[in-house]
Amino acid sequence: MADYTPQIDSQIAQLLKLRGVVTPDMISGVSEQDANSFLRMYVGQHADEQLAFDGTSLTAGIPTLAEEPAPQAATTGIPIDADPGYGVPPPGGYGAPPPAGYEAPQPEGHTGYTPDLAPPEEPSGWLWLLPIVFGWIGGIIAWAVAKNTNSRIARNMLVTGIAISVLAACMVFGLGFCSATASAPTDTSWPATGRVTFYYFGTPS
Amino acid sequence: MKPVVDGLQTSYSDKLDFAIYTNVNSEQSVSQFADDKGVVYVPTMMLVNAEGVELSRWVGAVAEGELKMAFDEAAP
Repeated sequence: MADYTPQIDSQIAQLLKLRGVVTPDMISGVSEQDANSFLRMYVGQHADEQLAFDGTSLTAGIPTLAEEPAPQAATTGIPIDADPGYGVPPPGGYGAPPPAGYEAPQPEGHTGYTPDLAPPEEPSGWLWLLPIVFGWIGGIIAWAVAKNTNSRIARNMLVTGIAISVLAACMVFGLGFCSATASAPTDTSWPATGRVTFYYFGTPS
Repeated sequence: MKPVVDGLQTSYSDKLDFAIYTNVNSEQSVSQFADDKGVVYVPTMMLVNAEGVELSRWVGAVAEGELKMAFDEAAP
């Protein structure tokens, strides 16, 4: 049997460092039986390194983790039971109020919800009479009055005034056109008097 | 407009005949006649040649010079 020399020790250490696992066939110059013995000796020589040799290969041992404490709720101290599984209702039932003194955790920097936007105010309903009665002029006045209160309603008032003005113009034009066409001369023939005649239809003054 | 027409009548009475209707709204027959000739607004004036063909039509106030030009052209 070959002697376990410092050279063999450093060879094993180097192989373990490079490859993480050392098998007997990696040790050169010795038989497999001797190499197997050398690996056992190495473990004994380096007991503080937590090595593991299972008879065929030498590996560096994995340190075991310390056990973690059981998780608990941060604010109430109520221990959290093991996962009861899906479908199992909470002890207090769904919708039950939280325990007394329970304070829901909030993310850092969060100061609570405070709505910044108040519900939009509505301008006076009487303001709608302006665009309805005075058309686009009333619409502009109503818009100017309501724009600071509710811009959407102010714009609607302006559009309403313009629309009413356009509608009124169409009606006036349409009625005038109809009147003109209805009064189109049906008889374009004039009496032949033998002289040029000037006809005047008007008022006495 | 009536005074203008009166002045023109004085000037052109030898060349033209003038048919002046100032009771369009009071006389039914005149109103009907005006409607037949397509009179919608007053004053409305027409210039008709000897054969009864309408040469020109004016609605509303018209400059005296314009009427004179039309008279001179129709009845030189």
